[in-house]
Amino acid sequence: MLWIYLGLLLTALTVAAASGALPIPIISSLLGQSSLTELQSTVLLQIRLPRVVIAAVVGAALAVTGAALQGLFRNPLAEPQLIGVSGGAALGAVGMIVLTDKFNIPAILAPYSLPLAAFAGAAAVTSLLYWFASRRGNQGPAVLLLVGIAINALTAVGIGVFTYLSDDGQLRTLTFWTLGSFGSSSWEKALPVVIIIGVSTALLLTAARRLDLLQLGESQARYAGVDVLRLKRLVVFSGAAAVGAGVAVAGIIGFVGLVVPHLVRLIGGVKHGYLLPGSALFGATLTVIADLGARTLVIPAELPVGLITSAIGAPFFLWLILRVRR
Amino acid sequence: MCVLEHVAVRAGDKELLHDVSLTVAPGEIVVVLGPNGAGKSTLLKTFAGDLIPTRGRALIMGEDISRLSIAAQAAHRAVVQQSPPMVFDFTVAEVIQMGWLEDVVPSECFEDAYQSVVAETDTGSLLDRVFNTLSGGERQRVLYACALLQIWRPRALRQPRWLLLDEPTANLDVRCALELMASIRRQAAAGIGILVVLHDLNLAARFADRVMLLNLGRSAGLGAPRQVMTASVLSEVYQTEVRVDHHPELDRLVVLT
Repeated sequence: MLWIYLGLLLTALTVAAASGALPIPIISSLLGQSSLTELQSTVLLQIRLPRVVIAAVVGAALAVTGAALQGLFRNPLAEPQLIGVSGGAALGAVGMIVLTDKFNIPAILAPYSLPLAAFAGAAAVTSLLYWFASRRGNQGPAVLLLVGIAINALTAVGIGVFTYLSDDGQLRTLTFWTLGSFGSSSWEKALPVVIIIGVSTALLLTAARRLDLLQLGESQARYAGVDVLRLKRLVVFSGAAAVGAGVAVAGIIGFVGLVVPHLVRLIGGVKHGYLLPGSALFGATLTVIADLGARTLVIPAELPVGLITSAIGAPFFLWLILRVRR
Repeated sequence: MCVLEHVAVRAGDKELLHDVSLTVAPGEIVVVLGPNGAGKSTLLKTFAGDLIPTRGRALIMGEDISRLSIAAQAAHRAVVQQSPPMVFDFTVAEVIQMGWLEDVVPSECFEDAYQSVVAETDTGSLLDRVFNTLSGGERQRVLYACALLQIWRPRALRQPRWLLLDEPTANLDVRCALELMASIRRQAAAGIGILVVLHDLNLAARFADRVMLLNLGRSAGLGAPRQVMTASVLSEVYQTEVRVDHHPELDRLVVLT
């Protein structure tokens, strides 16, 4: 099953790299039937490839984190954006953008300062959420969502303050953060994101069996040998790192973390050993396709990709709530 | 040996257990009885390593339970308790297989272990069902199967193991309850030490090797059912009129309330 997801992802990557305002005949050039012009190869290597790579890893990060958070909270509605993790990351990133002149950041750390700030925001929110969710046992889906709404409102206030403080140039960057876009992708941006997301996804994948056991409740998981506290730390911090890195490079992209795990469960079952890698691959595929839509639907202009994922994801979310209530 | 030595457990201002000593040897069934709030679940959770004694010691194979790693504890004992419903649609087979300790038992034993556990618990017809759609009694059986898989060992690895059960017959009808207790007896015969909290005095009288009677966090009696479960002691502990007769044909105690 995972091979099918991998095949879908490779297909989506190829199609997305080939399509756009400037079509690039990738397949036929690989087969040696035609060669790329200089313009085509520059566009492919410097603009389009980093863009589809970033879209893929960010989509993978959001989906695998959504799946792991749903398992950790034992809550089908947990999702990085809905419960405020993306908002926390965005607040961290926005704060860093506006205040970056005030700090003295060494040049070597500069590419990582934004991901770090976003990670700090995401980690703070995730820890806070877990503290709320575990204070009196498992409180059901509604409580987590209400807390998420409150946290989202708070991060919106924070982002509002920074928007108020920002100058014109910063304001444009901030707007981009709240809508989500892969528009300014480059290899320099891709490298830290690929590393951070690669490591944190690998860490999340090691938690698969323990997340299965957690579904029987925390004490039962402990009886079967799971160090629940360590598991919580692993998922919270790996998830926060993945989402933080994703938000730092692409802004808030909603609903990927919610929709993808549910689709993957419907297709092949609920065990995390399948769900986590399946969500990563499928999340990458859908995000690459959504980004393809964002840059081809209204050529030569470009839609924010967050609009597209939300337009698809929000109705799915409604359907899911109806299904959960039943 | 699984041992509590003069254990006291305190939660806030309240002393849940006071100076309780109990040893569960491999191969014996110890039943914990007592009215609601007597400390039965606290006792079980102390054996399980969930609660750490504020005084006294809780030992497993001579070692302080809280000093053992969580994984080492899981290799020594399994626990069956009432479980909250699952959020996602795990199948029965997936739930049972969660009990498998992949770091302790070689994986080539898995098929043997799994088949024998499924046969022992009569869960073969449920394997493809979704756990959440089961009745309360069926769920109890599946969780019992999961625990049995956790303490299953090939011959070469048979160090002492314990099975702790908190009211395992609560949701079961008469026949299922008797079948479960018979299965528990088979586990004891195979060398597993059993600690089981029960409300049903007749099941206790019938299946216990020893009974521990708790009242208000203190031991009100420990020994063979005939010694501990007398009409006067039970009447006082439960604060209601209890009669205990010896049934000559069945040759066992019958408790009437």
